[in-house]
Amino acid sequence: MNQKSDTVRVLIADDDPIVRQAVRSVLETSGAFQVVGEAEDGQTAAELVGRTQPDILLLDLLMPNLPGLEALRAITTAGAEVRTVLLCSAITAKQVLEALQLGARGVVLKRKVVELIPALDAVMRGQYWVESRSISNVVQIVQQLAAENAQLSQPQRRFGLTAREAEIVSFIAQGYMNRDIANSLSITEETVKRHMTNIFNKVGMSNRLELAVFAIEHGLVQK
Amino acid sequence: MAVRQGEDQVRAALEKVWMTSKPEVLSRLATIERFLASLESGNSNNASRLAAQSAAHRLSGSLGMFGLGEASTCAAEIESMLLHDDSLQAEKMAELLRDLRNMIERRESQDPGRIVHP
Repeated sequence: MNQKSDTVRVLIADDDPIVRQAVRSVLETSGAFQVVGEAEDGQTAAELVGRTQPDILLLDLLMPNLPGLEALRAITTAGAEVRTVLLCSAITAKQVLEALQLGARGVVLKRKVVELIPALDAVMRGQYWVESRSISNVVQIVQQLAAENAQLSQPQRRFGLTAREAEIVSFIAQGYMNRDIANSLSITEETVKRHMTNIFNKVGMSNRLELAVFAIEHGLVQK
Repeated sequence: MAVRQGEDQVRAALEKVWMTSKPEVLSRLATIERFLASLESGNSNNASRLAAQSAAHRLSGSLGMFGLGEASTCAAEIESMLLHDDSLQAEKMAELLRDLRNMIERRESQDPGRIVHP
């Protein structure tokens, strides 16, 4: 946040000048935001983040010269301290999860642009904004998306997981902690940890969020 | 109350942008219609197809912001047709374009205060 004026500094990245103008106009209805730059492609967005150091980057998904998620990856890799919010026409659950993994703090659909200011307010308070609401942590989002995907996905491959391990993966994808899993399965936390080590080795993931995304993508979430 | 007031201000701001952007929106629509005409007469080329694809992409990206969510989806369908050779059918595209133009023109005749954002 800009220390002098207390306004939130925003960079808008979208290949369409009409969208950029609309977003700028929306932000100008509140005195809390200052647009510090506009980018019409992903490459320029990544460069401008370094140059203007905005508090928030509003990033479209489908842009020339580096699509949105690739631009986000470049920005995250560069260690920029910007909060990125995707502003897009449509997005899949898989893309939302990928964006969150890459450090995005929210997603606003263009047809719900009236929610832009509440979304940015939530993100500036340290929350996430997904599916038109403020969410306090990423596990909640994964849990929500997992529940939605569970209705659509059918398990296809088990990746060498035992029935018990598959069960634990499903719990992880729904946001359960080790203690909750242990209680649900009537086993000890130590046993859960042992299973987790085996699971990580089998599927090649290194943390719970990656595992949750993997489980959702491969239909490993049980109803 | 403050939230509602904020939303009203946002809608009014978007309405102003819509008024100034209309010529560009219609120009994008015309770009796709020209491509369709060339496709129907067997004179289409890659440059006009790319221009139509870009126009459809931008319409898809922007129309939803002005309360035209269905039109945005329609433009996305057209963009998808233009991206894939096997789905490029003049008759289907003509139908989608007619729908798209109707939706845009219908918005024109509405009272701006009644435009509903989901």
